[in-house]
Amino acid sequence: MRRKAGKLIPIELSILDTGMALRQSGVGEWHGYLLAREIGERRGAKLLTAYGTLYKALGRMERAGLLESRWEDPLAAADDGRPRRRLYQVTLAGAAALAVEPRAAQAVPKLMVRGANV
Amino acid sequence: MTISAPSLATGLIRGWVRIYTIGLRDDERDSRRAEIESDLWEQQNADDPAGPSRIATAAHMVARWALGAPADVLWSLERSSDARQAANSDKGRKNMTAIPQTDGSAGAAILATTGRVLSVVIEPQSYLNVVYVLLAFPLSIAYFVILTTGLSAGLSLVIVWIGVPILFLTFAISAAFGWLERFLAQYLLRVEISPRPSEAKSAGEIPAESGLGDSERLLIRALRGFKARVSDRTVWTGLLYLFLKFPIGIVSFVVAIFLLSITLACLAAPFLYQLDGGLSIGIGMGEIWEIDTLGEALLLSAAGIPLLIISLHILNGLAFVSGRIAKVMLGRLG
Repeated sequence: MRRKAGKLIPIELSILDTGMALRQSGVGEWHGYLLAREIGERRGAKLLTAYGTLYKALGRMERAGLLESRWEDPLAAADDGRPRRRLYQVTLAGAAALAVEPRAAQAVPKLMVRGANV
Repeated sequence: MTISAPSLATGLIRGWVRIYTIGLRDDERDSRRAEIESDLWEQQNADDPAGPSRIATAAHMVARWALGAPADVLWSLERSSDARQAANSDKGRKNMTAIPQTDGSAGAAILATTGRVLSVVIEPQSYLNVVYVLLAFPLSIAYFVILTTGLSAGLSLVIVWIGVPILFLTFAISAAFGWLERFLAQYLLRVEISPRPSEAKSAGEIPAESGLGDSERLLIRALRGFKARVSDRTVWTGLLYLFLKFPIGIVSFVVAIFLLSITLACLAAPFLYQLDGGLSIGIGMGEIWEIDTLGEALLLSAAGIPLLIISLHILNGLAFVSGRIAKVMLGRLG
């Protein structure tokens, strides 16, 4: 299936929209599970975005310059007794791409961010 | 020692990630594995006292895995392909083995083949091919009836001259049918067919000093044009193709209806088994399996998925053969 260059598909719109909403709530960087949970809550969906769908989209968006990522400090993860997180944030290009989409005009619902620890 | 449901789900997903990341670049493989590992930990350890039970969490994880598995396969194929292209452009076309041959190359090949087999369900071309195959039967009937009528009437009446314009009209109609077939092959099968150049020799001009009247000159020009058409091989190859389309269309249609009806019946079993008359599987007059519970209907519906994959591959094969025949018989040679 071909799409027009620069055209965002729904999952990409959700990622950018949720990423920007998280930033406005003070969460500048987020990991995949946190993003999936927030997208699920904004949609009122019981099932979170599938692993394959989510991480494929995140990788594609990073290669397109809409997101950037970094791996967190391994010591910080070790202190918390958990695996290292890959932290993403929306780039200026991502914010601009979202701004030109018609859906960006919708109001962002209030977020419930729990246990972000970022 | 008891094994919890989330641990089982984690083991399943970890194993799947290891499989589809085999053969990728080290950094991409390790990055994907680590990212999924993090997600799995986060989901199991979400700090929510009112959260779902461990079994519900495990079911949720398995659902997230199953729904995203096709995307994982496609991602793996994309990354493998990109890596191969990048390596080839770095080292030049002389070195075609740029990707290090690790013990994972067999796994990557298996994964690539599996992806190609499964992706037939999500490829729009599969369904365009089905449309082409289904259209072949009614079109081939129309071609056969019209052309047979035209040729038989024209040939039998040529002795009284009226057969000549009838044959001329039949050739013109067959050319139009040939154009339609090239159009369908191009837009449904994505097969490019450049029309063959006509081999008809020019009818030639009648000299003014020949002493013939206007009506006589018109008649001679028409007869010469008819002779040119009759001697044009492209006209006869086009006619032959349109007549061949009849048996091809019948076979394609029968195969398509057989496969699609069984597949759709299986997939729709959960909705059909409660209808009057019920649902059962049998051969001939004997019943082998009566479907009378939701569980059995769901089982039959699940069997419809591999049936759908197999059916689409068979119909794609039929469409491919039809497209090749059209290209050879209607297209420019060489």
